[in-house]
Amino acid sequence: MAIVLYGRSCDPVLQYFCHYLQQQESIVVFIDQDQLGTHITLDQVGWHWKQGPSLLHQDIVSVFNRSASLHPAISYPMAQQQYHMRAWSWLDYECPMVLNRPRFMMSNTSKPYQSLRVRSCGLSMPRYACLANVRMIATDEPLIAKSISAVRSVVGPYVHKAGDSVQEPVLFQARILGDNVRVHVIGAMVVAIRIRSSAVDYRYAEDVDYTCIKLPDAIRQSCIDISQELGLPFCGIDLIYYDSAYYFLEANPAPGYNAFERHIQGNPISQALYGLMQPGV
Amino acid sequence: MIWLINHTDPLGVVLHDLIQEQQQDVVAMTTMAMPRYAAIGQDQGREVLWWQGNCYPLEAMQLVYCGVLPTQSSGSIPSEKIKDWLYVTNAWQAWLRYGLARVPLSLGVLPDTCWIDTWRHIASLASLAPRYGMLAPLYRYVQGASYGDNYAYLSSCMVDNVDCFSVYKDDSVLAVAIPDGHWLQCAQVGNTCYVIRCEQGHWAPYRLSHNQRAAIGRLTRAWGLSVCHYVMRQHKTGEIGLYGASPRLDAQIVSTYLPLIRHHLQKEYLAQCY
Repeated sequence: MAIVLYGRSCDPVLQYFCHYLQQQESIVVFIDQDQLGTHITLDQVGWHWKQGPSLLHQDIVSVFNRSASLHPAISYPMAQQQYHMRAWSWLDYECPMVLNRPRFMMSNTSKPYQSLRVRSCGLSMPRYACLANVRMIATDEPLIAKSISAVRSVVGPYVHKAGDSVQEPVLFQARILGDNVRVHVIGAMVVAIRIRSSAVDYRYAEDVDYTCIKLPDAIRQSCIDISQELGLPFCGIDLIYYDSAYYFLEANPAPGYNAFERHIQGNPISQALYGLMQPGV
Repeated sequence: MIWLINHTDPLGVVLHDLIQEQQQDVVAMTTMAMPRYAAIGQDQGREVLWWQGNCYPLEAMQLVYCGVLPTQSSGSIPSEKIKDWLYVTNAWQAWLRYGLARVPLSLGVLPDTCWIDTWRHIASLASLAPRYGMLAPLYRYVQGASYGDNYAYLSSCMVDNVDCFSVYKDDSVLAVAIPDGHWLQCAQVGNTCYVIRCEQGHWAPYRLSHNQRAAIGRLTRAWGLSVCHYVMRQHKTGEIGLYGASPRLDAQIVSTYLPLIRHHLQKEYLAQCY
């Protein structure tokens, strides 16, 4: 029985997890989404390589899915578009174990929508406002501005200037000066890492400190509830800890967990992923 | 206040006519026009939408209808601006998903799982159908050669209506076995199922069994939809096979059941908005 890694060959997360699985002597099959329709095909029976053997669906125990949408600005050959949809359909409705199914990864395309979905899960939420096609007015409250959608933006403090306006919808959030906490939920397992940095967006900072922490039971349970509510058995939840409260920022359905795990001892996330992807789990 | 978005599809038109007849408060827009003509923000602590000079608090919206445009294309976009355009489009879509979720009563609004089309891929329908007491279509992926005349062919993995089936062509991707029987088209609106059946080339109203209607209702709810169009095949045994699904209702079925659908929309939706 094989574990399938599905996505792009250049993806460092797939490369990292593949390396871990090989150390466990697992049978791992990598399927490059960019070769669908040209070198790889898919039907009801299995996956077929043009020059090589086939992999039957019945021989697949689980799939680690990191595939990305086809870029709307690129004109892909029809065969590639069709196979891409076939693969996602198979992941969504036919394959018994997928981390994560494409249809459940969509909540992240709207940050305020995702917050609305998980607001009953017991975590605090920062005050926020969505603004578009309006002129900004000065406020005493420290704010940060970020992309409202899944399109990545550099998150930064908002500094008001007279005559400022926003065009496309932008998410303005009350700035909370606390510790960033990245919580990886893997089934019922939780791995929390505190990140300290002088920057608002630690992803773009150099002075970053990563420490594994133990979350209070209630917060841990809230994170599991969020992953279940969103249908994401594997997710990376961004929290901020400030004044004895944990604030929910967002849940990432395709977390780049390797960037965190390499800063802590051992491979707790990879290990938990491997455990979750075994037969019968 | 009733909020109509993309109401030019068959069900949206019916709803819009009813609202106008009853002179109910409505704000109507298309998703294409929002980036240019809509504004969102806060007014006296309330989240608001500005449209054509008027201010609408989100909390005042009682019913939202979001239809499906015939094509979701963006029109002609200069290629050097595509990155900016995608960012802006994604941002508006992200806000719309949030805004729609804020309204207590909704019809036709695409839920989370439907923003990608895998739910109506024929392979997904084949996988789901038996769980809802329906027959799965027998299909084969076409690898550049016809399987013969015993199959109907599709140039996409999704079936919107019966006309999607044709003879083998160069762009055929699926071959689907069509057993003896009748085509059915079904429009699920809320908890009600409207069906027409094709007999000797003519479509006529038809009534499925209670169990079959209940199964279609359950499947629609499982997708989180309140409106769905189905293409089905009724076998000679009376069992039905599930061949297609679409979030956009077919005009023919809406016109066939127009008085009933009007009554239904009035009673179940518009009457809640006074």
